Amino acid sequence: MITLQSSDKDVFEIEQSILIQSGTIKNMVEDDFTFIPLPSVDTETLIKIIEYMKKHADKTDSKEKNIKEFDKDFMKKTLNELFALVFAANYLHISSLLELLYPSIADRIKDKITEAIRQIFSIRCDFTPEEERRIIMDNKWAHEGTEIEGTLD
Amino acid sequence: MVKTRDSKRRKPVTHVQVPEEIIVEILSKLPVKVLLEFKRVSKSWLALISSLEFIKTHLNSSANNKEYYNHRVILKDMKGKLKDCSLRSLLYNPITKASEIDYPMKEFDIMWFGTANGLICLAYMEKPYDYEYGFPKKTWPSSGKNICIWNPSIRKWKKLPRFSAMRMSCLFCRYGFGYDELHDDYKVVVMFADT
Repeated sequence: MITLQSSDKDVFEIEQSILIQSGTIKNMVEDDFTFIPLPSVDTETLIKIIEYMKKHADKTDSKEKNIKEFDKDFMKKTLNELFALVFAANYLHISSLLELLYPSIADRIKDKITEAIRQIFSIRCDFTPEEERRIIMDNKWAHEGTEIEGTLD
Repeated sequence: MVKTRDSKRRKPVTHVQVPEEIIVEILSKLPVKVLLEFKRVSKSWLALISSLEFIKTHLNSSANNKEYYNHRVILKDMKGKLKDCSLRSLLYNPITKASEIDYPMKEFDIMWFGTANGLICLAYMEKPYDYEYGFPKKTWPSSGKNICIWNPSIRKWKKLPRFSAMRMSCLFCRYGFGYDELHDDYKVVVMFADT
């Protein structure tokens, strides 16, 4: 059994066989660590990560349809939660989860207006209004019929 | 077994800088039209989306996507005009609607003769169609002087310079277009015979 500690200092004991889906944890286990602190992953996110890994640990053929359904439902989260998961999965090197998250997040943001995108990614606009106008004109057709979604979720 | 304390109030994720490698992965899953819109987000996003490296990453990601979300099919209708539709819809829906698209030299008869990496090479005749019973007659360019490369995803096209070795008495031409992996470039090949 391996013990994981979240950034909120909560601890979880999980079987090694489940945790090796995380490349990061696998390496630490190979170096004989049994207590693994994860200062960049909070409790809420860690619980979800563990849930994902538990479901994916048993990958027999009969369970495949089941897993696909689980994955679909697993993505039904707020954008904030998806980002928290992508940061954690990136740090923990869980490639199957990342491959699930990237298109889900992409799908969630594709209809958002520019200002919402900037807020979501914490980006400051560094264009002058004239420069921005030029970029829009350069691909005018792409901007037609858009600007429909301004939420941050 | 779980031991928990009261969880602290977290800062919303939106206040955290997203690492570039994650941004690249997310952006590479977006349709081209959306990427063109996102060019205005910031200077770094403009540079990233316009970069050759990202374009290749995106192409690789789209082309290998087995769900075909971003794949389009281009077809010629009975009047010789080009239209497009979603491949995914064609495969999975009972009915698929094709829509008009913007393409170069719309007013002329065009023939496409090669595609590579989402680029299409077209030859066109600089005179309007000849119609016979409402359908264009097949009078194909024997001089083949007008070629352009079209990228339907970004709706831009480039006319190629007319080639110099053209003889007016040329009987027929054959064209080819492809990607030269060795030089990371695209090549147009024209073969012609004259009497």
